[in-house]
Amino acid sequence: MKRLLPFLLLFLLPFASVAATAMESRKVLVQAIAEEDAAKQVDLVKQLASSGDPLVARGLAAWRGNELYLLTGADGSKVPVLLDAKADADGKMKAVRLIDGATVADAAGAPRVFRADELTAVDNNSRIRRAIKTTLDLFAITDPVPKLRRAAVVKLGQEQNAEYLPHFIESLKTEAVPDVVKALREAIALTRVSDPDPTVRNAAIRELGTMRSVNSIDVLRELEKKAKADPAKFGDGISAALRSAIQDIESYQQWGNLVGTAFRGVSLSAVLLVAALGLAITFGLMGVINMAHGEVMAVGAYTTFFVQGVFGNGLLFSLVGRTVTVKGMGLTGGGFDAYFIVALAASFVTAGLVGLTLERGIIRFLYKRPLESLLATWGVSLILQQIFRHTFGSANVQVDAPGFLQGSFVVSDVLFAYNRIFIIAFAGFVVFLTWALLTKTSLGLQIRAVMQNRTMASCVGVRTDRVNMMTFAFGSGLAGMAGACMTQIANVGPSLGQNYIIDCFMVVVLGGVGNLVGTISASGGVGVANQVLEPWLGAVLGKITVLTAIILFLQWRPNGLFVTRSRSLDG
Amino acid sequence: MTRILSRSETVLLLLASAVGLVLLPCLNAFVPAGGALHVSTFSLSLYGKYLTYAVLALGVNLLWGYTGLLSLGQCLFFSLGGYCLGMYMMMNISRLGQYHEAIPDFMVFLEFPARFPATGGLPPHWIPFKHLWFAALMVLVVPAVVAYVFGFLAFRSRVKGVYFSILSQALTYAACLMFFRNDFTFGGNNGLTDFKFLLGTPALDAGDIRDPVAFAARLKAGKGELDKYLWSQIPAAEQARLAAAADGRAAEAALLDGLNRVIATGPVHDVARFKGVALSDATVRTIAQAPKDAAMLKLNRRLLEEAFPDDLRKRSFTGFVVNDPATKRALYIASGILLLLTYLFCRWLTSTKFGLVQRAVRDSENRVLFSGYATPDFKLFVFVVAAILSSLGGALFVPQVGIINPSEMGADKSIEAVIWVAVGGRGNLLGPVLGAIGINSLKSYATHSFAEQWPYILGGLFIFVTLFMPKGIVGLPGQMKELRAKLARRRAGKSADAPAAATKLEPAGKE
Repeated sequence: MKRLLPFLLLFLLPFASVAATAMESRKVLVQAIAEEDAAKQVDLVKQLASSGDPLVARGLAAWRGNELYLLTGADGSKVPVLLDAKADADGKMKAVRLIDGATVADAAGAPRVFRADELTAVDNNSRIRRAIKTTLDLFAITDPVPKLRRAAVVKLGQEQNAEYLPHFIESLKTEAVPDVVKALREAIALTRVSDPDPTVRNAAIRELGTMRSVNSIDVLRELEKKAKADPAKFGDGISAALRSAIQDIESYQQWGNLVGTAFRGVSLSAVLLVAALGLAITFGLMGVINMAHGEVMAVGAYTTFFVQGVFGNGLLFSLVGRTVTVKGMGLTGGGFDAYFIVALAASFVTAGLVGLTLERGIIRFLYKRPLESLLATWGVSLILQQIFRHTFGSANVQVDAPGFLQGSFVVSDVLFAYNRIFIIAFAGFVVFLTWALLTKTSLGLQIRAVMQNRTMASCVGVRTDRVNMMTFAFGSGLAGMAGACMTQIANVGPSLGQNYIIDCFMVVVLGGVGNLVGTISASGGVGVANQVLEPWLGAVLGKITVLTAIILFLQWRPNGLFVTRSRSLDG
Repeated sequence: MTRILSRSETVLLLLASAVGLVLLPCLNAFVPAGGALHVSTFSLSLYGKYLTYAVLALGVNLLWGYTGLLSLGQCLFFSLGGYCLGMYMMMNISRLGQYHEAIPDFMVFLEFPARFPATGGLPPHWIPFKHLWFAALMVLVVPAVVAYVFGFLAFRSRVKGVYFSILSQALTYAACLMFFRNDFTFGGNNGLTDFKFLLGTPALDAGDIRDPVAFAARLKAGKGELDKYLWSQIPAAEQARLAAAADGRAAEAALLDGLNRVIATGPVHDVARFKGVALSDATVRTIAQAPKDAAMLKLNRRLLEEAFPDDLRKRSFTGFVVNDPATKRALYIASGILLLLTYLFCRWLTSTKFGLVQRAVRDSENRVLFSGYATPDFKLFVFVVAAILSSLGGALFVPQVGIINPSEMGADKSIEAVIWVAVGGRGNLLGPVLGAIGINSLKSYATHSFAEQWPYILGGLFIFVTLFMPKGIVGLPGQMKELRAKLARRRAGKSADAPAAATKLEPAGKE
């Protein structure tokens, strides 16, 4: 054991000198391979846990998988080597020496190649394989990436293996990232829960409770069952400690669930709001049923896809049977990410233009016949869907999230995805935009005048025709932006609009026609109700329940949540 | 009749009935295939489908054309009727399905026996659908109740116009989602299909075996070739149940399962097996045709009856085979008669005082309300009647098409039904029928010849009809006349410079 002393020292000072440690740990590995006594081999392998050297990791993995070979040198000594993954035409591979990572070469300096079956593999047995697995697992807790480090710590903590304990404590001393520190403390406490000493055990249980360790609740519950079945074995005090710890964690979990449900509810509400706001304007303010609203959203989504192609690697689509190739700018990184900002604006413009055409071409003839505007726009929606299919194919198209919308962050075990947060913020922005347009601009003034009394507005000189046109274009533009947002959370395909249209109508009807506050509160209500019901009833039944609830609610308030007062008989 | 139907309408109806109800079925039945005038069974069945659609269109028209209620959920009632009859037909084949269980195949597949152990896997509400009278009653009652509840809620709170349309669409959407669920016990997204028999079944039922214990003993003894064969075909599990049966009832259940399996599996007839069995002439003729599938099952049952006249009760009728040309023809004629009756009913209803109020509600509901009429009641009545009509159409649709699934009640189907009415012309009875048959013929042709372009055509039709033909095809002559008169007026006014552009059809909303 004496010759191990230097390595034990190194073990205590893991970051003293990376290069030296790597060198030494390789030596230990080579020594372990050469060792005859299995017990000593296992000891040696276990010492490698804090090495962190990638070559050692490779060597260990190869050893376990029977892919570590012994090469007999010119002097008769045996050198452990790894074979390169890449084989040449004859199935021969270059060999890498384990001790220094150098390629094995012949006298002339050219690399020598071997076939796997020409060489003898290093022996292993189940004990060594187990030791190697433990060591490799522990390798991960010294990973340079904090996220991976944390994941490894959480995984190993669950195993409650006392062997890991010193390594956890060791890592804790030098760890600087708070997340990982927390995970380490949790893992230490969790491991100590299985400690035979009752004082240590109960202290650990209490610590888990104060830490609100959600990960350990299953272990604690299991332990409580065992303690109840066999009180003598676990001693006094454990049940009290367990009870309070489990209660702490459970109440924390409930709170976390509540926050999670609330967040998901709000984000679904934001999606509905963004989607329904355009409809609230065309239907609510103008009284026109636009069944093609969903397809206008899809126009926005496809515009986003197009802009992405232009910024990225280009795209192919077919126009009236002819294939059109658009060459992309081939941007990457931040330049590419900017596409989404451009796409939002472009979606507003294209969808607005589509809305403008629709209003001029069809809808303006049908203001007095709302039921028929429903039919005509349904026809438009059929045609638009088929145009999408013909232009971009019937399969869904791929829209990549820009870098700044990827990923999520976790606050007290609740996941907040960036794209969801973006949608919530965007919904706020759109509501502000609409509010500002309606109340702060002259167009908004005219819109409200036309809405309240079309004939009177026309008499005092408001060009109602033009106001209609602008309102419809604005509503459609909002729908287009909604579509651009949808690309981040839903599949972009020809039937994108169909998935949202009925929900949108329900939101507008529930909120009360011609009323922004109503639309906002209705989308909030529907979104949160959906998310609250989903865990109980499942997605489909939850949705059906919400639909039924809306139908019943309209019994009580036929004109929706917020009623715009009017003297008109049918208002 | 003469008071309600005008002379020209009577002539038209008689002519249509003569062609549709007599001539076409005769051309199908008596002109040999390949003849120039032959109408194939496929085409006849397709027309039969259009006729049921026309019934649905008359229902939509009663609501939209005459009462001003645009329901976007009428296909819900159509499908409900279809499901009711489909359930009856499922029960008919339940003992003769792929799994040879006493319940319809999809229930075995979806593991219902674990969910409903008390009834052997059959959901309780399915049990009465064994009887045709019950299923027929439900075809009327279920849609009526659904329509009554929804209509009561909607009309009481004065939901009208566009809101009614959107709510009815939400209703059918919710129902569609519901029926898509496997848990809802109506077959999930596959729906009900694989129908074989109508109005009866060749499966042996309780009471068909006179003395189960004695019959089982006779088969087990295996004196004749046939006895031996039958006993060998009864699965070991059923044989064990027979041996363990404490009373006649348990023995009957086991024997029914075993013998129905024999009927369901393969051709029972074999010259050696039936040596010495006196078969009737009709049966011998059927054997010579070597029937397959459903017809073979019927033959199997008859063979058993004739081989064991003392043990099995003889039933003269064991159901029509759904795919049989004669059955298809009969279904077609039934659809035609249903359409005719629906037409006459609608004509009668709209010509009564009720019809007058109905149209008044359409044109100005408030004035009717102020005149002291309870318009919600009128609307509710029409809504329920239209639902029942649609449901009847659906009930005849299902046996002809052979499948009913939740996509049939999707919102898009209901809107399509509305466009048939719009194209044909609403507010009269001929238009919807013409629209339903015309558009569906066009659809069959288009989806066959140029499927890719069909959505453009349908979508374009929606737009064109609403913009330029508010009265549909039926209103076209009147529109032309108006246009000509307008042109004439204009020419008389300024004969010098008649604008060429005026010859275009004017968008209707500009008036």
